[in-house]
Amino acid sequence: MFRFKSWMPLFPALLLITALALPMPVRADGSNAYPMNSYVLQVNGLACPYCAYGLEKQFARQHGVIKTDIDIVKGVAVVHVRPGTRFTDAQLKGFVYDAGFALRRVVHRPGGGRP
Amino acid sequence: MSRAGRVGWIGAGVLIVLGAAIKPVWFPAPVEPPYHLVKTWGGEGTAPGRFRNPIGIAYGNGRVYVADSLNHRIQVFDPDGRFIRRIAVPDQGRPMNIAVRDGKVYVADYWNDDVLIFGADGALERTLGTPGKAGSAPGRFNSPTGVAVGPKGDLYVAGFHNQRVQKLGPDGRFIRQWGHTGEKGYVEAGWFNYPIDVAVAPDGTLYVAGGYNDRIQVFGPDGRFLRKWGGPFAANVSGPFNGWFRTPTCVAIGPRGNVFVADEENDRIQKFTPQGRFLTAFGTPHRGPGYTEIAVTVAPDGTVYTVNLIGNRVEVWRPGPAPAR
Repeated sequence: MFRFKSWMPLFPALLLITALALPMPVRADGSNAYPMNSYVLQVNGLACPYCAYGLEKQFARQHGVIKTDIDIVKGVAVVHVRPGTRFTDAQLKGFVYDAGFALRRVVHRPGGGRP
Repeated sequence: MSRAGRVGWIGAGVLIVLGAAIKPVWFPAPVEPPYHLVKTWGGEGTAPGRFRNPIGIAYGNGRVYVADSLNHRIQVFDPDGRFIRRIAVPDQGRPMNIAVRDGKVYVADYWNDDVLIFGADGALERTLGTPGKAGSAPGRFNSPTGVAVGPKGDLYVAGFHNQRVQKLGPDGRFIRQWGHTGEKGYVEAGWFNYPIDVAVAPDGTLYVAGGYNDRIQVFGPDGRFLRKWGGPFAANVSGPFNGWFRTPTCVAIGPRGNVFVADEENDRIQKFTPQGRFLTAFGTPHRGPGYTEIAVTVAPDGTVYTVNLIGNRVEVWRPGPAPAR
């Protein structure tokens, strides 16, 4: 016969196992909360401000982009967009390429969508 | 000895002779001791005396001027690092390499595609280019990153995305350019691959820090190409060796005419004779992402001031080894 009380001590362990098994979104900067309405891009070669600012300027020209935060230490660009603004991966790749870089991957899309 | 053996010995001999000939040219030993660090100031932040992405530095009139890029300002210090005042760069500008002459401050503003000239009182006196609009016509800029003032007041501006260096009269009128607008060149003299900074010697000789070309190019007062250096044949080959570069981002002329280059991705400053002979190197080593020595300037007494990008600070260096305590 199933005895609920005897299973109680196992619940925390089960919860932990379940949580670990679920795909956990991890931001490029190490935290686990995505900024809303933003694209988080990992870009190759973002080591110096001369190139990073160029990428920032490139995104500033795009309709719907509010601002772009670039972390040259982590090689990450966070593109903040107005709600409803959507870019395809191909568009993002093109913007990054036009600024002289290679897009490694899109880590996050607005609204929490995973790549 | 067999024929193969003779060929082997001859080949080895040729390699040894070539190596002996190449080594002092491509891998020179330092002829001066490195400089030693005597002081730092700064730290990350927005308060006076703190920085967010300091990128340029210039010494003039007994003051140290620092381009504090992400804080959109120039900060002015005395030589000991005491904060004196700030000069705001308008329209969220990103000041890059800067120059100071007769109290005036010349600022290459990457973000707004213009060159700003501030008076000794910090007031904006003049704007060259069209603010907020990149352009490639003569006298226009696309992400300017370096500025220098010649002996007759002419301005020299490195245009990062236009792949050129422009010379403008004191009134801002276009005079000439080096490089081919919008076209990158990697090996040939007179071509650039994202030029970043310029410096002009008292005799009018122009030095260009080639940025992604990993070399310095030198042009005479008449504009003629004189020489280039940085790695084998100065042909866009980067490396960590003495006299080689990995993204030279700033060039400055010392009081004796020597040339100081911020070799950003090697985390060091390299010092050369005006002819390009390697003298010594120094800097703050760094492990992990990001780089340290991104800009350099030299005071008349030979003290070197550098900008440590990742450390958000100014570093002060004196010639020779640190004195024994």
